[in-house]
Amino acid sequence: MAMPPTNAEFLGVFLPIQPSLRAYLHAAVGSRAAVEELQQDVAVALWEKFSTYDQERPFLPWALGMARIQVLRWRQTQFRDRRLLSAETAELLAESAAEPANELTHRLDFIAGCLGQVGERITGLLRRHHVLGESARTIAEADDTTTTAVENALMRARKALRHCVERRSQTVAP
Amino acid sequence: MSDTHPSMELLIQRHLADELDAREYEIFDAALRSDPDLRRRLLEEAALSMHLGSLLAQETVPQGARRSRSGRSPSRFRPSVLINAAALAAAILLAFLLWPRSSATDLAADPAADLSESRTIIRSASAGTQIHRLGASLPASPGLALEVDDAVVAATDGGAALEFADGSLVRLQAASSLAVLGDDGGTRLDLRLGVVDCDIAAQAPGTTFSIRTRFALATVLGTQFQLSALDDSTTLEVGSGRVALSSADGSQRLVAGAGERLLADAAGVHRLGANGLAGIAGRLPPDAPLVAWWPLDDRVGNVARDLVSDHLGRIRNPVWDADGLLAFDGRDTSIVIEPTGQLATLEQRAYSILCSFQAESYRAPGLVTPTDSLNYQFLVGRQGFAMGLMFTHEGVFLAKHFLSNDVPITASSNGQALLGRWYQLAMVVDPELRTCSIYVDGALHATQPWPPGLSTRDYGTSPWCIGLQHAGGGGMHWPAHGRIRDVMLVATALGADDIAAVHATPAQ
Repeated sequence: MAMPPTNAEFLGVFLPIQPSLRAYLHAAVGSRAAVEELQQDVAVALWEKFSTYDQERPFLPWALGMARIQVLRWRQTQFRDRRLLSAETAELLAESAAEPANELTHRLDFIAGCLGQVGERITGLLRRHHVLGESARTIAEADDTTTTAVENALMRARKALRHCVERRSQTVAP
Repeated sequence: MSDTHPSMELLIQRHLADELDAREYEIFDAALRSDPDLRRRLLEEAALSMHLGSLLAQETVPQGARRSRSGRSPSRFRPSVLINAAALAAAILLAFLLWPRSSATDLAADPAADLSESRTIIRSASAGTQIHRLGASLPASPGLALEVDDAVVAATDGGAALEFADGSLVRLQAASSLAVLGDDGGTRLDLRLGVVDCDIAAQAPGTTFSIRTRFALATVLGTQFQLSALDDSTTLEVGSGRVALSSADGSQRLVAGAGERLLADAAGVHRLGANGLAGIAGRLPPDAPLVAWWPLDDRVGNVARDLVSDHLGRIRNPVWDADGLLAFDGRDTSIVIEPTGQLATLEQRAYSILCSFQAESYRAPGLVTPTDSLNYQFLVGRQGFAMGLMFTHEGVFLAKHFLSNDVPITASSNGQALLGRWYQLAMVVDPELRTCSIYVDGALHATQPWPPGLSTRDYGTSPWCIGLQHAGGGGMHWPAHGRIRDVMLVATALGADDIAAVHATPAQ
């Protein structure tokens, strides 16, 4: 008789793919607050169904399938005026997330080093946006500038980070 | 890691910050559906965004951090604690134990509880229809009274009927979801998804019967009608009486009478034609075989949506003006559409090409040989074959069709078109009559016949193009300079009355 899976077995496959799961949830629902709600639901669903997972197959596509279902359920709970990507797009994103080469996901470890190069002002801006959840408009109003200027600064900062990550990953590539 | 077009980068950023407006969501969603690379870029940015949040949150959070625009605590955006293995196991166990499972059955045990004040009852319901109340579900059964904020979710293979205190009836079709918002000062319902058929009693003075959806508010003026709420639009079809449909923000309002249909979407409220299409395409005869319609009012991005059959156009060097229209720069802005489906052989039979054009110059700045009198501005046609609608440096519109012996049949407009003025153009080719005609603003300007015995030239797999004859085509470059919109391809030779009806209203 098959033994029930242990926490260690589950975590052994779950933790490595967690960044991809979070990326998918963020891409599918947009709101970071919703990601916080959803990722716990997904983790629970994966744990509940883990005994049905065929360990001969890759874990990520299976987990994304479960995450996709959670996203669809979450959509149904949202108010009618909540703007959402379509269910079809959420499904297509799950398919894309299951593709083996998601370059940036594999290079996230380089970001910490790159953050040290962008300067305090930009780091502060990124922190306000990505940690405190301040919108570009809120930042613009507080700093007496325009929303477009803030959006452009955020885009430039992330572009610089992406290129830095790319350079560093190429430098250490075998 | 490649960079995406700046406008799409902005939409990605706004989406991940939950800041897209309704129109941007529509555009972004369509682009994501059609572009796998954009989906990969979004996933990359989402991974970066989440990881940045984790990294930066580990540093000191400034004192007195402001609340987010939604009023939620900043801590809501802190990264997950599930990274830690032990915490993960504990969280899973805790969440599992606290998982809500039984509240639905608790409510269902006493379906008549506290219903004495209700004015709305379930008249009939198929098995599987549910009432969602306070986060729980209970089976819908005839006679059950509804409370404010209840939502009725019809079974996927059945339906339900609601009866209101004034005798009005609302029937939910299968899988539809309808919530009761309130019954003070009239009846207010929220059609979240699906279709309802309504038979509404005349309302007492000072009261209204209204149904809102994601995109619209339908206010009943005593009538029979059907309201359909989909993910991207809401459609109203009136059987008798009149219904007013307002946009969700209240800025637009149209009234439909018996037999009329209205559509509300992220762009506003539109009257639908007999063919079920809004806008200029809705003025076509209902049986006209419209093959493609590119409004070219997409506002952002490098994809031109076809609202009829999904022939997406790839836009090169897009410049969107303040009105959301595509501005052709007279150098290399263009749209290429692969000739799939009916587009592959459209010109082999009777066909019509329609569009609106506003010229900015008679000679586009990107002309390779500016003095060549054969340098035209190419509006719509097959790439590299100089067929379709064109604009000459003399301000004349041309409709050009090629025969099998490479002989062009050209119909020309009368007079010189003015710069900065919108013109509505139609080219109609009728092989049966052996004629090629050009219409301007709904009026026939010229018809050119051709001799019997000649068929249409075969254009092979050459794509359809808008705004440029041939990228890199040297003297055949022919860039358009101005704005082109509402390009429609129809697989029939439209008659003069049809053209007049479509172009009855001047282009805006």
